[in-house]
Amino acid sequence: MKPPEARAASRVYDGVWGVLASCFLVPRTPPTLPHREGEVPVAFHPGAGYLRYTLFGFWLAGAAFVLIALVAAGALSIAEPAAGIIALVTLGPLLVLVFSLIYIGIYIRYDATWYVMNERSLRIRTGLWIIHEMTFTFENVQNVAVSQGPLQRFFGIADVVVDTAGGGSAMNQQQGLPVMSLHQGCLSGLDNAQEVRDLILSRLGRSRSAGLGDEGGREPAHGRTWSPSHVNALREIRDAIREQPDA
Amino acid sequence: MDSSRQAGTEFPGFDPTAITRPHRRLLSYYVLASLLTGPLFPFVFLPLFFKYETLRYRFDASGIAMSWGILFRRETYLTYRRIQDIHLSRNLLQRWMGLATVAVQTASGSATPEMSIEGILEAEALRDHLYNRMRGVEETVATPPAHADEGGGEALALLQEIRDLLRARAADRGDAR
Repeated sequence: MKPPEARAASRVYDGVWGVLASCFLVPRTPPTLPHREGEVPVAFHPGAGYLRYTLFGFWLAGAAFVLIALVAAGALSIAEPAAGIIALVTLGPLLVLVFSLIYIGIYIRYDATWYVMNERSLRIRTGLWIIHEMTFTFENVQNVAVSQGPLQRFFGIADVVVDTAGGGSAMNQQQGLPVMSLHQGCLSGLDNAQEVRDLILSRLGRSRSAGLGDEGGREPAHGRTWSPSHVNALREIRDAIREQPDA
Repeated sequence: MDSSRQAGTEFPGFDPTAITRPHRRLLSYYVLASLLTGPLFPFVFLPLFFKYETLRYRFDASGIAMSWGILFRRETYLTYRRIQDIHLSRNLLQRWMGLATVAVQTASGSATPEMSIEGILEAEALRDHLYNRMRGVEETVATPPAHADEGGGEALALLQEIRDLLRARAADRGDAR
């Protein structure tokens, strides 16, 4: 049984989710991915370390901001005591409100991030205001990379970056897509990044094509098998040699 | 939402070949989105209005054609098999209006998607339609044809036979000399 504060917190959290789901149409369920019969697609969030990692960033940035705000308020109070007090009284609560919104937002964003994989493809959903879902087939994936910064290592998480063919660097703000190449999918903050990378690599290793639109994988490999016409030709050679009268 | 849908199956009743024009709601979306830019409204809205008015889609068995423009016309055609990745994005306004942007990309070097399909109400169904036709969704690992093994074995036997015949003949000639 959870302590009462935790239950109250989770009720508040569910309430926030309810509002988001009904008014802002943010889905809480993972995105669907068509799959075959008997196959179960796996859907997962970033690792638990990712939440701690983002919260750490939040506290760090928040502390820096509060420090700067306090210095500014102090300077203002010295120069103009009345204005300083008014600023403290009005901006203080506002700051608290904004911080708590961001704090809840971090949890919500974490819960709204989904990675879904089946045998052949990968779907990533990110974002709250702009919900962005990308779909890649492993057939098209060119390379898979794992990247980890020092802080990420401390929290035991890493990013898995999946690239498909094609260039293009920055994004197009109008399309509302994240700041990365459109030919790239990032599974950020996984606590089992190596496993996920190996899984993706093994699935991509099954495909025989280069992932550039060639359909080589669908045809029998030439040169390694004999077609019936080959065999016929050989048969004819043999018969010709047999029939030839001995010189 | 039915999460047990299988590859190859489609949303029932969704027929992309019937789509030729974006839904009317796209125009309302363009109006609202342009209004959000404030004083820039006419400059933003006019191109979007003309885009909406001239936008045509054609979905056929092998690809998608899309064209728009009055002064500068653009026509794009891309085949399903060349699709690299599909991006479906909705901002808050689009979610409220039931719209979405389906961006489709091929392996080209451009930073913007090759095709951004807007104004389709059944965006998820459209995405699955495209998904089921892109490479790597069906089984692509080829199984060797059944005759390959026997054919290879027979060919080997024939070659060995030819070799032996030639050897025997050479031996005969050597004896005769």
